[in-house]
Amino acid sequence: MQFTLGNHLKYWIEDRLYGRRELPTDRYRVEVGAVDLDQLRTSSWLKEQYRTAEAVRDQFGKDFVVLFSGGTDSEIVLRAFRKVGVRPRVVFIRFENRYNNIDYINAQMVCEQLDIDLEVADVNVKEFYNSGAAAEFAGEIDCRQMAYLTVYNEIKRMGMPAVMGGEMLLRRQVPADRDSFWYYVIRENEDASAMRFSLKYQIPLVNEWFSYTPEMMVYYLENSWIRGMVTQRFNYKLGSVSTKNKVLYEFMPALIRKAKTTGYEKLLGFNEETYNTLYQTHVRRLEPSLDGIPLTDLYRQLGIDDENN
Amino acid sequence: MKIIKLTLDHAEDAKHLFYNEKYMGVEVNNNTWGTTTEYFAQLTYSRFINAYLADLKNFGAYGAVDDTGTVQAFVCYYTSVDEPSWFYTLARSSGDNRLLKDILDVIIAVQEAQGRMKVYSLVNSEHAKVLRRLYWSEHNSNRYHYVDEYIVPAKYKTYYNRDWELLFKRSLLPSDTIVRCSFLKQEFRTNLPIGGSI
Repeated sequence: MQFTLGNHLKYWIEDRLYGRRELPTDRYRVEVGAVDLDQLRTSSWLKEQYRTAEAVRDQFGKDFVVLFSGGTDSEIVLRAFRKVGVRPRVVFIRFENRYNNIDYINAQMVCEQLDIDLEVADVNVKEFYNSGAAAEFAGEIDCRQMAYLTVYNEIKRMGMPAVMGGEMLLRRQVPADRDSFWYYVIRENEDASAMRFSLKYQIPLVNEWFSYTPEMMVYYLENSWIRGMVTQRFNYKLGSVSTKNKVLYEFMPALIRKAKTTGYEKLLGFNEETYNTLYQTHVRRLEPSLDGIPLTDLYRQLGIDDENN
Repeated sequence: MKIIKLTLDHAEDAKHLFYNEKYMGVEVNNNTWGTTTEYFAQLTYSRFINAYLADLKNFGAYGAVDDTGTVQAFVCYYTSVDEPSWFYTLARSSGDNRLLKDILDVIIAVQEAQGRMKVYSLVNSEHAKVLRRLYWSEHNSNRYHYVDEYIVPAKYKTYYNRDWELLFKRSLLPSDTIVRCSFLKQEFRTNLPIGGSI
């Protein structure tokens, strides 16, 4: 399976590449590959989007599906495919009781503009959880996030290669024994579960589109908004979520402006409860590794100098 | 006035409790909570409905409901799935603090019946000493002791993820805040709950 270009983004649990946790003390670690400096000099964040779309087209052929949440990230994925002449199958997962109706309206708007047919998969997310099916599935791939489980379940049902938007999430870690620092987030029981799902069910997956190439990651990190966010000590920012969209609008001005939603506004309590209970279906991590890579290490692994980290 | 477990049927009858100028003893405005009173009320009310009134197992709320059906006060809680403890989270009243004491007595009784004899809560550090007198009945003040575990300076995130998620709700609070653990004294722990199964 190839999750990112040359599988440059990897995680291990102890020595098990894309593996599962066996003991609470097993060490979890994430690494990324180094940039190609020639590529970095001549490319851009936007060109990397198109390069990724071409790479995925070459890898998957015509028959693959894009899971479209209606948000900005997956809109970028669709625009990249259209730019390189690919019209993918696009599916929106619509939750019963119109929980994500705003996102559905956005998804329709984007697809109309891009001349893409939008398929809808209706899912009763509470039934999925209450029936015990979600817990069983969570235990198979060590995933505690209902939103992810719902998407994986739909991909499993369709049984074809799939692309998910994801995002290059950055967060501020606040340790007890030293100053806070920023890190690139790949969570063991969330993001990394995509690889376990893919390998278990032998379904090719691109789950970290915005980290698909090391160069794309660097362009994002070098954006002035992101630089400001991670270098100003007292900006009271704890994550990149509220900054991300203005960065993306800068990179791709054609994007449709939308209010930042999670699609889960009416399911926040449900999501929180399931997040805490689904964790009981797999071995808990009690070792203190970070769910990702500190930015200082990230820059080093990417092979670029950073003055401020 | 009766103390009952609240459901979505009580949503409208509790709405008036959210439109306050202060929260946790701090005035709500752009400099403190980073938003307006109106928007803050909408946010907390939305959270109240979606988490505490929804049909969830670990989140819940008890309230004091008068003869007209109006909710005059409520206390929300989260019951831990990790250890025999619970979390006192969102609370509101129309001004009569005795109602909060009565509600807390009921929740404590329910939690103890389920084997949970330890509760975590947040207190504004400026009011830390008087809060217990305001919100705890004499009966349970005598049965429960407490320790203040740590203080989180204003606008800081916690070191500890569980408290950050459950008590702070991932919010930077505008005042110094103490995480307090109240626990049933040993002399009252006569019948220990069963904590294991086959």
